[in-house]
Amino acid sequence: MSSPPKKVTEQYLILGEGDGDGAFFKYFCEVRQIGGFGCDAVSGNSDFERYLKALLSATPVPQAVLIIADNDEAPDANFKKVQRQIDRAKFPQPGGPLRRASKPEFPDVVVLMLPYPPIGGSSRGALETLLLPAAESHLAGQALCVDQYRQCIFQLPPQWTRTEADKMRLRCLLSGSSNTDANIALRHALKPEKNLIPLTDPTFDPIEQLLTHFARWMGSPHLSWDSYKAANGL
Amino acid sequence: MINQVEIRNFRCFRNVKLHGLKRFNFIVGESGTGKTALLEALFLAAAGNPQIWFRLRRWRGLGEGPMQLGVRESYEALFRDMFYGFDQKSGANIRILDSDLGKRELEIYYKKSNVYRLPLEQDKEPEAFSIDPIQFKWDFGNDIVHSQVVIKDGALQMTGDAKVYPLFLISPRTFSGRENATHFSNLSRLKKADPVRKAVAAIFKDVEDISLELLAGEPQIFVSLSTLPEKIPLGDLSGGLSKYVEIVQSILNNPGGAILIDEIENGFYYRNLGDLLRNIILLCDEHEVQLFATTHSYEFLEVVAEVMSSARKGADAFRLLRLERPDGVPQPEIRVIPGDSLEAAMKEHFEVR
Repeated sequence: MSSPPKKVTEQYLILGEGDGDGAFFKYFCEVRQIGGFGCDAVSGNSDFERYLKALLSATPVPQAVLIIADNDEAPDANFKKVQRQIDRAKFPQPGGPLRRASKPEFPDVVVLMLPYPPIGGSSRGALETLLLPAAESHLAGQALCVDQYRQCIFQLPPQWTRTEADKMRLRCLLSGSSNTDANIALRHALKPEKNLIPLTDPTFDPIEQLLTHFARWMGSPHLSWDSYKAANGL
Repeated sequence: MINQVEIRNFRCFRNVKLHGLKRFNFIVGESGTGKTALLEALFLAAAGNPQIWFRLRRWRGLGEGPMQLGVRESYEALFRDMFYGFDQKSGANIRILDSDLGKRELEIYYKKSNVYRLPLEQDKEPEAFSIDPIQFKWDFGNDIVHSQVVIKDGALQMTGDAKVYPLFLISPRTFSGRENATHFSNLSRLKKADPVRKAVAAIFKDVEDISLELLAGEPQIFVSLSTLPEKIPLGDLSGGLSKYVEIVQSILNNPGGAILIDEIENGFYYRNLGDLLRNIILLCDEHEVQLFATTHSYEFLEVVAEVMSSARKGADAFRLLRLERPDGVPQPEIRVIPGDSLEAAMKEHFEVR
């Protein structure tokens, strides 16, 4: 029997570019007890347009959508790729990451590019870049081995970009640390009971701050998150 | 084609405006949000005489009586539920804008009367009262027609007759085998019955022919099946087939007009839905007929999304009209949603009803 049609019953929707993002925000909100957000994901950063168009037909329609996308190696280009899809879906188009866009009869739209905050002073990377420090500090023993392996394997081609290297390191770390599945998918590895990536890690505190203030920010006159933070002494 | 509708103070609508309507409009919403009332508004505005109001009442199971003719309360009770919040003082207004035919506006209100009646009943103190007759005013921009419902000689009499808008209403409550037969006869006389036969044969493979026969002296549509030695009445074969024939005939008899179908999916077998709808879309496109159809069925909307590409203008020819009554809001809100959004929503498996 097919599953019932999906409904966004929460006030706000977090829309990830992949299963991993959807799972991260779902478990993150559970662990940190942040309410008011429904989480869903598309199948890659080219699928936002269709999802947003679909959302217009949905009932009920959320008040705002927080789109999560990866910077990869090209933060500006990747943001623009998301922006164009928002535009084609006729949704309000934010001028930059963590800026709010509004339009009558549409949900507000905010785009969060990952990693947030920048890791090691660089905004390049993906969800895995954000997760890696927390996983490495939690699985310190295995992380040392992965690091040795990294130093060895990286002498050989292919020469991965930072994003790809972080993905490989996290994959190795999760494969070597999971006691149930060496091929564990990221969306499963994020489950709190797997005890692989601690969602309580302080690396993620800025995301908690964003989510806990999200409703107030949406209700405020501040278009950018930075301006809201400055005005509220955060 | 109707591209705008505005309704004021009619049934559950205090004030709604629908813009950007297209050839194919599918109406969804919870029970009691006003889907049928929306169809009724269109049907009433398209009519040329207040008599349609009494048909609508009958279809809603309200009937026309019992009525004490000559009593004001009894007279007004016939129209009271037409007005939003039963507010009869403000009058009702339904305005449709057709891209070819222009404006058509129906205004319904009580016209002040200075004629008083004094019933002379033996056991009551005589008390004079007046009945303000209800007035239906059709405004076509360059022409105005008034129609009044008055009590005369112990019956309701209607004056005036406006030009009707080409529109049919099909609902489980309006179906009549006799009317279906009359439509078939009209098409047959005009040598236009073949498209009905073809449309039916395309879906119901066993049907060899359709013809008009007498059943106990009454004309009825009969079907000839490859599996039976003699023809049988259409109604005996299948409710779904009868309904499909009614829809096809309404399209063919109404070029350039509109058809309203309440609960379109009712009576159709789920496996046939795709072919049925594809054929209805092709016929509507071919005869430039606009479709307004209500549905509760997710399965049907999945089929709508699938067959959109069969329409001449693809998803752009479709609209989803969703009626919602948010908590604390007295009247329904109607969202007009583009076809490509419905298509995307069905692919994402979103609830849209």
